[in-house]
Amino acid sequence: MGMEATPPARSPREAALRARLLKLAEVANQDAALTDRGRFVTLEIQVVIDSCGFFIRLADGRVAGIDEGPHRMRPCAFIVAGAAEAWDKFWTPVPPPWYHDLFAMNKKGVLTIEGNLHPFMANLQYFKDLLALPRRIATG
Amino acid sequence: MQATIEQIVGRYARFEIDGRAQRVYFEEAGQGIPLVCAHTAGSDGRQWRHVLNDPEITRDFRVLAFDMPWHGKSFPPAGFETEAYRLTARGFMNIIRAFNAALGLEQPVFMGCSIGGRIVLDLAYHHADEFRALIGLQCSDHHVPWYDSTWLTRPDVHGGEVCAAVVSGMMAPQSPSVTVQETLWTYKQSGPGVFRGDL
Repeated sequence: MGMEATPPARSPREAALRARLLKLAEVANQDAALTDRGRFVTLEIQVVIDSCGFFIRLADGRVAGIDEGPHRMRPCAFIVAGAAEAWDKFWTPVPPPWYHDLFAMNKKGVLTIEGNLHPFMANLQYFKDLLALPRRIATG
Repeated sequence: MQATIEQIVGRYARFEIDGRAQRVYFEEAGQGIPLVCAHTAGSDGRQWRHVLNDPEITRDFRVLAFDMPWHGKSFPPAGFETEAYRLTARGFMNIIRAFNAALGLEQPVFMGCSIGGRIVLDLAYHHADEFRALIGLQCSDHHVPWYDSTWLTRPDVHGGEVCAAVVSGMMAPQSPSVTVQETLWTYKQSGPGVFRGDL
């Protein structure tokens, strides 16, 4: 039985966001300060853009791989989920207020962070910086 | 290379707050109208370094920035090791008023940021006659905790790292990186449970 196909992007914006996230490893693994900060992080997290999940495998702070979902019931440490509109704003070079930070978006109610939050909080700056990296990845 | 010596002078003042002996570190610069500055939760008086070094301000104001007990170079009071630090509005007002009295400051201007900004409303309501002006920065009338703050002080999460990482989201992305990182450093240096106890 093959894996369930990834649902098509519902908008060009969502497609562009997916493409940027899939390039995360290229940027993250070249950032020595980031990978050093995350050197104790070896786990898998799920980032959700609208209804599409991305399973990001992290090994010693480096991005070891990204699998596009859905992969239902696949375990992961925690899930960071938001609408395409929220990620789009978060990933602009200078984000607007409330969209500059994962905590700020969570407080505003446009981003959920659920699961085992211990590794997230123990490595909070790492995860904030890692998930903000698509700001450096050009659209398209 | 010749050093640049800043005009800031740091000293310790010993006095009682709520009946407990305290050794409070403060820095000052300038002359004229006393301007007492209070820092944010989980940080210390270094936050005011640019105000203390601003000749346009220190020309007319005697700027004083103190480290609250438990913060910066001020120690917690004797016996602290058996208690959980917890700041209250009343306790915060007592710190400020005791500092003013101990240094003989008459009707100073008071300026505070965040929790230091929030307390100006309490000072205005209860002790307006003791101040010539009250300035609140990044303040609000009421603060409701919106996340589980136990993450800020537990043995399996580095308190300094997590507090700084939380605060990193409270500075605008346009802020200069150098000053952002200096500011975060003071949060990384804060004592265990102090940031949470301030909130």
